[in-house]
Amino acid sequence: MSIQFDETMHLFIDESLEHLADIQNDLLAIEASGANIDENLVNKVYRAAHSIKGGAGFMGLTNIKNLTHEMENILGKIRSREMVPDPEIINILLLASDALVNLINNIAQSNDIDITNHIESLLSVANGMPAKKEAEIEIENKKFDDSLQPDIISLPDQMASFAITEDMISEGRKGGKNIYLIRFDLIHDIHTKNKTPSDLISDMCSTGFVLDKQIDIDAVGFLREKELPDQFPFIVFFATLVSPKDINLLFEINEEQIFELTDDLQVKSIAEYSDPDVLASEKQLKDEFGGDGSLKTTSEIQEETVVECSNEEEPEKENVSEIEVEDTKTCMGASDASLRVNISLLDTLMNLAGELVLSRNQLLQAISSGDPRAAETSGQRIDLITSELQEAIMLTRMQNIGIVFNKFPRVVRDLAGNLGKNVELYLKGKEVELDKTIIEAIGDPLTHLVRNSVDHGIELPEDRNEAGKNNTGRIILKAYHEAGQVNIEISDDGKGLDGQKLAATAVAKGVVTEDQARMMSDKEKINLVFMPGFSTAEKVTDVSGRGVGMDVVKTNLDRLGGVIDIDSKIGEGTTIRIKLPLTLAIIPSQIIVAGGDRYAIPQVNLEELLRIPANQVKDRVEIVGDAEVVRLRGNLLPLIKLADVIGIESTYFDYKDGSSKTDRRRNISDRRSKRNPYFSEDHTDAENSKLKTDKKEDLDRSSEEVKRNPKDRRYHASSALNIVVVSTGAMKYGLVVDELNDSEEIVVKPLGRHLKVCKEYAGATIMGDGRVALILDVANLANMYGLTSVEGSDRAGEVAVENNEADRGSKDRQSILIFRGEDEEQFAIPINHVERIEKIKDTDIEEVGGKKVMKYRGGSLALFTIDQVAHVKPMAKKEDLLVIVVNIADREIGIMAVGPVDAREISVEIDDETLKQQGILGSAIIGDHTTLLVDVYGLVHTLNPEWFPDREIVQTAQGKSVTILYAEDSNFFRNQVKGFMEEEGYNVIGAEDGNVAWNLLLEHSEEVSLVVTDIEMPNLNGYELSEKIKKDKRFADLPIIALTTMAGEEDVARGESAGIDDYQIKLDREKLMRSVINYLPVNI
Amino acid sequence: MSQPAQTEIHSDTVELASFYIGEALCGMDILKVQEINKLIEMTRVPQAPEYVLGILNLRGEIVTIVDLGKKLGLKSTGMSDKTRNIIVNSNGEHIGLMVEEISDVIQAEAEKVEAPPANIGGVQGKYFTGVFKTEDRLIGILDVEKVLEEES
Repeated sequence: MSIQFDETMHLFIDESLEHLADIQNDLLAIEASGANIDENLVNKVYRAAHSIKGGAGFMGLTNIKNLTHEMENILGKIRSREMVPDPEIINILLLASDALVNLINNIAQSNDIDITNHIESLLSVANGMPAKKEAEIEIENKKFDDSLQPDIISLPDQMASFAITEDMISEGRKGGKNIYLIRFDLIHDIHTKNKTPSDLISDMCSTGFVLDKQIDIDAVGFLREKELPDQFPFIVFFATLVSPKDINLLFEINEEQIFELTDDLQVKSIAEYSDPDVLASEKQLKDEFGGDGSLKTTSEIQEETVVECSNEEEPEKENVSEIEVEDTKTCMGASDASLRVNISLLDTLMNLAGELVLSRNQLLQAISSGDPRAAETSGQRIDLITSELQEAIMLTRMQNIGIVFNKFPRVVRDLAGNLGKNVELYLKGKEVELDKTIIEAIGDPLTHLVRNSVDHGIELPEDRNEAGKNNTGRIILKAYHEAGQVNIEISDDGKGLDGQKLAATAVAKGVVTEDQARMMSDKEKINLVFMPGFSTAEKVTDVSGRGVGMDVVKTNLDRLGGVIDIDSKIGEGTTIRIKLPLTLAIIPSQIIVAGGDRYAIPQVNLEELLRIPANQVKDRVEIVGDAEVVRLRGNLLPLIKLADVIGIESTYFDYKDGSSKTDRRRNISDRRSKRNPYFSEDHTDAENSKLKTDKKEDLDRSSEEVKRNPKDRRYHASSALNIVVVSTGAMKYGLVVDELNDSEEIVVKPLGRHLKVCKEYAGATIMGDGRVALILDVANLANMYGLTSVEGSDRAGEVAVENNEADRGSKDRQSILIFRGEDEEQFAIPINHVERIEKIKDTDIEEVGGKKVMKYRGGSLALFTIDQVAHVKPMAKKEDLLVIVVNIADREIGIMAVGPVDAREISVEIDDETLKQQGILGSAIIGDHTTLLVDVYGLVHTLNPEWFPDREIVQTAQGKSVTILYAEDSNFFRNQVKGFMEEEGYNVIGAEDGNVAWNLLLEHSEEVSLVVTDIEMPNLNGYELSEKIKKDKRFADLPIIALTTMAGEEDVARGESAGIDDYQIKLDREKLMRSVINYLPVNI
Repeated sequence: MSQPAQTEIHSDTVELASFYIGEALCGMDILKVQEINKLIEMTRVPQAPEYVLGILNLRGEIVTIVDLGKKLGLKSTGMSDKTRNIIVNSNGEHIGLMVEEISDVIQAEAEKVEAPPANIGGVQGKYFTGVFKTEDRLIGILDVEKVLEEES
């Protein structure tokens, strides 16, 4: 039989593939539940197989029909508990469903593909199992949920039967419809009338909807050559409003061929309706059912049926309709070419389109009447509507990442089985939505990564036992939203990646030189797997490790604008993080200016913007080797000057005469700085020429009486550096640009073919003013500059490592906000206490009830000055003041300050003796100034003790103080935190580092009820300590609170895996104490 | 651009949009031409091939502007009031060819088109499909696709 591709066929393929996608996971779930089957699930799979079978039978796809028929048989037996779904059975079913996918994807050839293997194995499974005693089955059957238990409906002559459920019936009866079983004869009723079955179905869809359909093959009898069989019954299970009296007119067939399904599920021929009594009883029946009996207008019927037609087979899904995105040429692509969209979303789109038309009309009117104000208003409206429209259209393209995730349980199961490993896969965040194109494109890279995790990551059970791990490995696949991007994490608890080994392999393969390898950090070594031509597998397996692995993954993700990063610890596992944009067409970007032209940098590459004021350039920018680097929070960040890479003259804006000037500085770092050991005489020429130009500029400006000393050149505002810190996968660098503009959402447009050679651009975009701006490809920029992830980090990395090592074990880094109370004394508070900084006038301050307050966000904000408590110089009387809004004791308060304020990251030792007093925790030297560290808690507590509720003192059952173990390497913090915990009535054991803490814990194992630990500590850091504690059976339930200076997402995630229960910020006494109470065990 | 008032167009006649590259008068099949623009403000593309003058926004599409003179190995096209961009459709992409000056639309009868010589006004013969000779003039018919081939 030749197979025709028409609408019905497309629909069949789409639906079947959808069913199959679900079948696989459902089968796995059935396997997991074992003998204790979930009837709903089995029914679902059964129904799916059944609908495919029905459709296939109708289309003449015998192979598909036969295969599904056998599957259905087995599923039926599982459902009736004649058979227990063991892995073997499920395996055969899974293989069959794979074969089915293959058949459906090659539907034209499906009848020629050999599936006897599958049929045979299915048959042997179906027959091989001894049937249970009938009585037993009956008892079990009774347990079934009635609504889901299908009834078998068959025509009086027993030619075909349908398995129907109450769901189907009630769906069909909706709106007072009648349900019929109609027996068509494909030969006499269709073929001889010059119709096709699909004509028939579409006819039927216009008057009702088809619940199910079947061909009765048995009734056909023998097929004789050149002669049609006597009959070819095609039975349709059909719901329509048309009354039994008129139904035969609709299809021009005999009354005898139409049967009605009555409410008590009896099948009766409509021929009986010629009897008027029966007619009356039928009406009564209908009324009882709740049908309103009144005839609907044709359009109403149409409307209803159209929606229901597209909805058939899936009454449980929400209202969806299909939008044909693109007419496809081949049948194979059909499933990708259409998209299900929520109807309410379509309505929103329609409304927005309507509004857009309205606003356009208004705009046209405003323009023709020359009313600029009206035009402006419509312009704003159009702006608003356009962005809403954009958002709504984007939503139609959004799909759950679950579509991709759902195939992994099977992948992992099969692969783990082949490799003899035990692996459990956990999926999180399946509901996270991504653009359709991205969903389609990440499937392969993710599969590769997941397979890698199973193949290379998770060890064999015996190896795991040896390593003291649970012999079942665990892979967690997680998706979540963060900062307008989607993050996907694949983590396993396998053997991890060995940086040394990787580096050695890389050197052996000539990917990097030995020198380069030596200078790489561990993380960089791990990220070597992304280098082209690199495979980690010592032996090549058929699973992964074909040597084209990770670099292809990376290239694919790069193409999507994604970023990939690996973290790994030997023996503990590997975590791969992927960041993906939500969509590709419209991307948020940072607009920058270089050489007078605008360029866009995609936000996904953007880490932060950095402006180094002119007077700090000298201190913070230096030359290491031949690269310029900037110090950023203790690390060295390589710098690239955009203008140099793309060969243009950079410019700067001269605020004195308001014009753009060419910036002639060749080197950013200050050559006069004595700190720079790489200072050489080579620069003098450049410098001289610069001096000359300076002088010339001076002459130009002499009329303005601005006399500048050439030496002050670097203090000129224009000498400030604007740096865009960008990251591309493993590496991060600073791009020096002339100006930073706003961030904008841009539409990516491709560049012409003559510009394909320009690797530094990812495309172009059209700005609001109609001009074009180029989109920079920051990864390629770095490559062009010779700053590959390995080379670029040569010396910079080395220095950074040294820096880190110097830092490690000595002091904690703390971000602080520096401000002043008057012009001389400098104060600091930890920046994570600060909510906002407000600029106010002194007139904004009111004195009410002896206290200073100001209006702030609809309430009153209590204002404090430091001199109210501490003996410091009184607050300066100035017109312009700053209020630092701080959150303490669940309320916001303001600390009055004057500028300049500055945020710094310091790692200096805090002296908590010399200058300590009430309201002041201690002092430190910051930027040549002795700076007093303000005790915000003490300050507020002294002035408003009533704000701090007395906490009940937690005591042990014996009435003793509760003991807390506190590990912290900084004396200052240890004394502080210990002090206030003791004030709250706890007994605190202090430890200088993780090792000491561990020993103290062993010593006091009976008393310690809770551990508070710093993260960065010498010898044994907070993570390691936590892991050690949690791994020890005696302490597994001991709560651990980490105290940090900064808790980023990554840290929290890391801490979570190390067993840390909560994160608190150092010096936030209120929150820490609440957390302590919260986590203390109830019975101590 | 004034359409010559010719009433009869023979089937073996090609309409040529003619323009000057340097001193040489050249033409191209008018069906290739999408439109002819005065100079609009372009965005330069640093590091682009020498013959690319920049890119511009043509009703939402990014169009590469090619200096035709430079592309053909002559000196770069001088900018003046007469400079025009001929926007052509090539391989599904719009590309602007900047020429010094445009001239009339010329009817070229097929029988008067001859094979191109090795060199027309300093431009290599390979860029032409032929030359159209009138009594007083010689017009090189440019092979647009050949001209726009990317150099490797």
